[in-house]
Amino acid sequence: MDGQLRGLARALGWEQYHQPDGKPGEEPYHPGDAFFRLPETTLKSVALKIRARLKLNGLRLIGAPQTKARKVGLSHGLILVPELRRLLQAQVDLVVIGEPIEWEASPYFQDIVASGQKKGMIILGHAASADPGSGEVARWLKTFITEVPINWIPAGEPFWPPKQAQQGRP
Amino acid sequence: MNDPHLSRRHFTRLSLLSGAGLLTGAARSPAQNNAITARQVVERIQTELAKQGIAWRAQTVDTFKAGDPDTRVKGIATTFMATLDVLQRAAAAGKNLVITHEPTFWNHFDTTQEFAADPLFQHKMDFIARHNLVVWRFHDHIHARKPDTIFMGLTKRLGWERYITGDNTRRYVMPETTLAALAGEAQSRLKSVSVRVIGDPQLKVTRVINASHSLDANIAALREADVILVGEAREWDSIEYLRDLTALGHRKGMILVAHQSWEEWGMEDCALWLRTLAPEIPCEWIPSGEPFWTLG
Repeated sequence: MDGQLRGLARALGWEQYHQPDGKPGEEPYHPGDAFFRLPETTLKSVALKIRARLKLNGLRLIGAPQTKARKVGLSHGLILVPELRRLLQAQVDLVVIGEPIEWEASPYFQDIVASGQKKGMIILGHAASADPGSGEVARWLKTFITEVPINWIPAGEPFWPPKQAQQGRP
Repeated sequence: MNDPHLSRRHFTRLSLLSGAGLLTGAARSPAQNNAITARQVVERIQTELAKQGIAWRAQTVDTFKAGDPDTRVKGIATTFMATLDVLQRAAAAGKNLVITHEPTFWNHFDTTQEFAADPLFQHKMDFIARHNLVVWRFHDHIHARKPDTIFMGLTKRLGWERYITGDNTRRYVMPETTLAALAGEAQSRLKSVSVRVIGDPQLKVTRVINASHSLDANIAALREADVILVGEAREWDSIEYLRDLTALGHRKGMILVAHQSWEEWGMEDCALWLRTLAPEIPCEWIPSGEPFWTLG
């Protein structure tokens, strides 16, 4: 099982929407088992919900705000073009990712949109996408280490946006 | 990530060699009209740079990426990145030579073999062929100009020319301000919605260095600057290094802007320069534009 994927799905409240691929011999949330079917909504409304739920300041988005978001592919940490292509090949409407390289995966996605495909990308930030997976590690350790207290300490998002700082909420 | 890049470098060298063979054969084909070819535009750039003391590098990403270099040029578009959107706007504006600072095919060396069966790659190539476009990259040698055209463009856009100290055009000393105020200034001057900041908003700032993508260079810059301006850095190295540095009590900050917001502006100056080298051809800058939007 990809604990990072599982942890992020749990943090987003998306376990109920998971569409396991049912690959023989694999548990749910094995690497690549990263697809979710949301109640029909839009890129912008999904992004607003994620921002509120994960308490993030640094979300970045690509795609038209009203893009329909039913099938979603989820990724964490750095995403390279091959992984992005695998998500897109599954006919997703939306990809939710950690960190793209801005001359690789994000312009690939910009070109997908410019080619006429109605798709959206939500960029969480590397730390934001990987933090919940560390919570998953703590949860797992507790199942076989019972003698010592185990806590997850979220690293938190490293940055703040300038406007909010001017309003005094860094 | 080092190994694939080494092999890509090797591949680039091979394609350069085969490109050199093409150059001698095709450049002598009879002219259909008086318009110069894309290859001749590039030769003028190379000649002009040589006059400025910048020798053409044997290994460089500054090569033709798509289209036939012997195409007659009707118009030139310079841009930060030859995204499909930029190519569409160039074609609509009658600019068939696109001079791009960054890659066309989503990797630094513009290798394409892994995309041979990719529908997006095919779509982009078809668009280029259908509109008779030629794409040439101008990265290594525009950065080699003195001063660096790309970062002088950024400096001018920020209004920081008056803060340059000494010979290094990437170091600024400015009247004291705060990190929050400086970040707000960068955000509005660069017209970017995706600026991100690390450090205490009230941090006092006078020394700023326009730093780098790489951790090593950012660490070196942080030794001498209060704040570094960074156009994209990896979030698990430079960003976390600075977070730890500030946690240790060091009074430092980072203004992180999109790669595009960092390097877009010099390509406008590039277009002005090209007009002097190829005055017979219309040439314009097509901004790639901020790639991201935010919830505000």
